[in-house]
Amino acid sequence: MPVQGIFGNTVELLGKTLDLRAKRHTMISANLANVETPGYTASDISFEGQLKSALKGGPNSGGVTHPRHIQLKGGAASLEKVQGDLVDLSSRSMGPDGNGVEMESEMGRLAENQIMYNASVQILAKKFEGLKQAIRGTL
Amino acid sequence: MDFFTSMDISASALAAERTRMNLISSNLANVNSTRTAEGGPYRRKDAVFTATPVTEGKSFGAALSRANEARSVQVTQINEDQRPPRLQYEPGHPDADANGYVAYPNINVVEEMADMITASRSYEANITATQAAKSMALKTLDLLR
Amino acid sequence: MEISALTKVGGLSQAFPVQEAQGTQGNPAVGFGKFLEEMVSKVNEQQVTADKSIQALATGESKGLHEVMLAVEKASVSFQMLTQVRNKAVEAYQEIMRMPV
Repeated sequence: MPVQGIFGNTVELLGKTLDLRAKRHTMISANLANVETPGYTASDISFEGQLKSALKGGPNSGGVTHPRHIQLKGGAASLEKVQGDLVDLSSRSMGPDGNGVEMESEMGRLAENQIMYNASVQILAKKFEGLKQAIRGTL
Repeated sequence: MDFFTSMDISASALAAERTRMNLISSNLANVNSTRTAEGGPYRRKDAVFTATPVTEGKSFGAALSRANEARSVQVTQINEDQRPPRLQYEPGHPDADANGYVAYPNINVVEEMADMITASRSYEANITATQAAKSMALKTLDLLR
Repeated sequence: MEISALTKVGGLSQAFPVQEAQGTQGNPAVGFGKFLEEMVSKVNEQQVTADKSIQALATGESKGLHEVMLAVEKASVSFQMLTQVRNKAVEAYQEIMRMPV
């Protein structure tokens, strides 16, 4: 019975989004924890570009045909392989002790990340509910 | 990826900021202390924060990638201010030296208040981060409902 | 009994406006079957639109959370309505088959 087929691309995408946003939350809380540490630069995980290229076309973004071929970087071939890159956030105002964390923007990103995470969870729950309803045949 | 790592990081920040607050209150309380157990006037104490990686990497590759990973904060050292104490002319004071000067701690109350506001702001920010992690984890349970 | 009266119910035909061909006075079963087919394809369209908007939100292309929520809810509600219409139709069919001839 092809059970895997009933979960389309969207469910995978949402699951991956949850994963990546959880990682981003860890980075944001690390930035907030080190807001007073001298010499610390804020870091973030960037995954939107990779998600987009993974969704657009798996076969087009440098798939490998032989196990010993090296995978092309820059675009994930499939949705599972999207890992997200750790990048440094360059802040506009570097403090006198070399600390580069802007607390205000970190709080803003924290709120945005939380809202998007909750929204993804809600949409995912809705998708499963719709599937369950289709299987049951009635409300 | 779990939320407990994130909560641990925020908890470490809360502990560090609390240590800092303790030092600040100690500084403010001892602004006029001319004697201490070690002799001499009270010296301003300050905490040194260090960003320490959360996971211990056992391999070379992990050590390389550790530079960008999430790092928690720890108080590694408590500094004593080495600036010379403030001298005030009070010949009748029991701690006056040969010239009649008493050494008072070199603590600027305004500076300490500013530090206190920063510490409290950072503490609140980390509380918000902990609550956000908790709310996200609880919301995930909704998937099962 | 005229089953084609089903297609004339105000709510249904306004929710899914169907291009009425000139001669729908023909076989009522064909009329209803065609109506159901179009309804299914419209519901599918809405699901696809909702999926696309979810993807746009996840990759950060569109910041419109409300659009995504509306699209998802629309798709869900029309799917539920389709399910209920199908259930009622099946029930009506079974009712008819139960009638002693």
